[in-house]
Formats: sequence, structure tokens, C-alpha cells
Amino acid sequence: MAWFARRRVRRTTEGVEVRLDGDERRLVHELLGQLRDLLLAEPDERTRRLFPTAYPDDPEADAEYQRLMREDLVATRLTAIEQVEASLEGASLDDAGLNAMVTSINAVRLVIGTLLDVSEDLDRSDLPYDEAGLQLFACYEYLSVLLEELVEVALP
Amino acid sequence: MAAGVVASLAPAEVDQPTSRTDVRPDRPWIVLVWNDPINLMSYVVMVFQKLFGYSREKATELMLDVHEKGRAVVSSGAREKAELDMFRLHEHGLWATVQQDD
Repeated sequence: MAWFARRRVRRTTEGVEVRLDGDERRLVHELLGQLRDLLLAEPDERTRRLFPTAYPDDPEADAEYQRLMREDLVATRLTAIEQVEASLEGASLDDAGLNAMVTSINAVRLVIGTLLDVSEDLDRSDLPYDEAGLQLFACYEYLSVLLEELVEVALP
Repeated sequence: MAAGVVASLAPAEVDQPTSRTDVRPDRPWIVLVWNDPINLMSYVVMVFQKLFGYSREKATELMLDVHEKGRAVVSSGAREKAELDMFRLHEHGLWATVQQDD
């Protein structure tokens, strides 16, 4: 798995360069498309981490917050996805572009982690070892590696 | 953030000083971040630094508090500010809540 060894993200004088190979680009593209579909669909369990409970002890205030802010949370994420899709071909990223990529990749990872029911001590023997489960887990681990690299460069 | 609007309207009706000791409208609002097994530690540190301008040390300390104690207060202030901070944390996929400090 060459993508574990190779550095994809580095800061240059032009900005931040993210070098993904063809397979990685296609995967990220595909996952971002799925995230967009989920954001535009009715809320369900898969996206609960993207819209956290704001007032656990006050259901009324929480419903109000969700009613008013959900749309904004969706809009910010859709804009970020678009930005990332446009920059996937290897353009240098400015800070806003890097932030869009970091938050989008993180959002996909949150959804996949929720689907895999990741807990504090991830028990790998507990994973759904059918083909779909393995694919999801491979995506999750790949996104973890990519996100670590992005964060390392993005850290102030 | 309608809840904030409600809060700012409330004092207008309270024109009498009150002797009740538990009514302290000036108590700050706090923003709590709760532990989540999915978010990467380095990512959480980055978000704290970026949103609140904390040093790497301070942000790391807060992240470890979240990780080990289950939650940490990451910012505080007027209700409107606390709610905005919470929203920005939600934009970044962190589980944040707001409450008035005890």
C-alpha cells in the first residue's frame, strides 16, 4: 500500500500542495459525492454527528437551534465540498481551500465512523467483515491517514 | 440563534432588583466540547487553535481534558458569543453544547 508511505501534503511557496494519485482522487471524489447526497437527504442516523445536539437538557431550545442552524451547517459543507472537488486535480490550496478539504474529509470520516459504530477502543474483531464492511473500514483508515497529513500542515 | 434573542429581550421585563440569589443574569455562558471516539486528536487540537487562537500547548491540554475527562470548557462569555462558538465547532464536526455556568 504505497499510500501509507508517500507524503501527499506539503506546504510550498505557492500554498499547500495535495498530491493524490488517480485512485485516491476517484475515491475522495466518490465519497464527497455521497456526503453531498446525505446532506441533501432527510436527516438520519448516519449524519447525526454532523448536526450535534446543542442543548441536551432543553429539547425545546435544541429543536429551535436545529431548525435555525441546520440549513447553515448544510450550506457551509456543500460549499466546502464544491471547493474541494474543484481543487482535487492538484491545484495549490490557500488556507481557505485547505480548511475546506480538512473539514470535508473529516465530515466523511465522521459519517463512516458512525456507520462502523467506532467506539473509544476500536475492536477490529468486531468489524463487519463482509465486503461492504471491509470497504468502509479501508476508506475510514485511508481518510485517517490523509486527514493526519492535512492537519499536520494546517496546524497553526 | 433565536435562543440568544430571547435572552437579550428578557432583562427588559426585569425592572425591579431581585433578592433571589440564584438569579444572576451575568453568569457567563460556557461552551463544552464532549468526547467523541471518532475525531482525531490532532484534528481537535487544530480546531481549538484555529477557532479560539489558543497556543498549541493550551489546545492540546483542552483536547486531553476532553479525551480523558469526557468534556472540557473551551470558551465562555455572553450567550450570543457562546452560541456562535458552538456553531463554529459544529461546522467542524465537534460535539459542542452551551449552558449557563453554575
